[in-house]
Amino acid sequence: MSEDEFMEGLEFAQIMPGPNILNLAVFCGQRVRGIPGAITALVAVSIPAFAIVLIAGALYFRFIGNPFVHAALLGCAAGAVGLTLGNAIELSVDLKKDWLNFVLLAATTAAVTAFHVHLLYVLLVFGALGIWRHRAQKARAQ
Amino acid sequence: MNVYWRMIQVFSVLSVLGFGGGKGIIPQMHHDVVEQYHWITSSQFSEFYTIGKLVPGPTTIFSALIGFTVAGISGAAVALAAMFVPSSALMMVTDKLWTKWQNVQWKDAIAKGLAPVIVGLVWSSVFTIGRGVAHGVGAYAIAAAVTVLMLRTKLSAPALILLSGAAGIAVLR
Repeated sequence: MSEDEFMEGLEFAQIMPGPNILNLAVFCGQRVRGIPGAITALVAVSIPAFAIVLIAGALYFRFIGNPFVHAALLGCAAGAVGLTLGNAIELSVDLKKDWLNFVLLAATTAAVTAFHVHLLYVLLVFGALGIWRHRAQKARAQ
Repeated sequence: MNVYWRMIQVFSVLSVLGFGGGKGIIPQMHHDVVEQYHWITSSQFSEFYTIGKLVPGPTTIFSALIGFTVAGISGAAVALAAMFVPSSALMMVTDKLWTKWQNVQWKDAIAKGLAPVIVGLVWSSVFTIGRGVAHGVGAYAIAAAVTVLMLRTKLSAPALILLSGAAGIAVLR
């Protein structure tokens, strides 16, 4: 596989739904050995991840009753909230070039958190709106 | 309906809606597995998400922990397959069919046009995960410290979560 083909795969993997690493692995597998290659890549990424998360799950149910473990996990979960918040802030800063981005962002957050709109409709309505707006802006710029 | 089929249904839909690397599906997943089907509690959801961030690999791997709680190892396998197979299949089909993928305009429009929506979903995820964690000065301080460290240092996500665990033993016991 050439450098260019790999970079194309990376972009493609980021745009398509699903974890980026998994999508990229599937893409590489498919370009190298077709559908069997893609399936091999899918299995090869999934099995180790599955094993590790199962061990984590087993430990969770075994030790959750222990007060130290429980306190540690409460701390970890609080940390995960902080991490997600940091992520949200970082990603929002990337959008600052255009204030209309924040209108779409706020509308999405409100629809999901306050009104519990299903993700499918959020993507169909706000996603399509975002894509349409981006295309329209590009067309005007040309 | 059989719980396995129900899990396949729930996680497959989330799988193909997982734009932005799956960052955006957390609120809908919480709605489905906690509020609608009561497979796990809100605190378990936050804890499993945390484990998903801690272990190597995609965060959405924590769907396996939900499946594990529902139906043991076979439940974990079904939940993980339902999460990973549909998006991968979509990837394969799109790569095969869409020979015009070179069309840069569309690539850009999807990536940049969807970005504000995905980020809006990440903000919603903060509230979703926040619902299931400890509340109080100690927990808020840990969360705030991690946010600052994440934005200001190069510490990795697992390192920050482990640090939070140590802080949890100190202040949340």
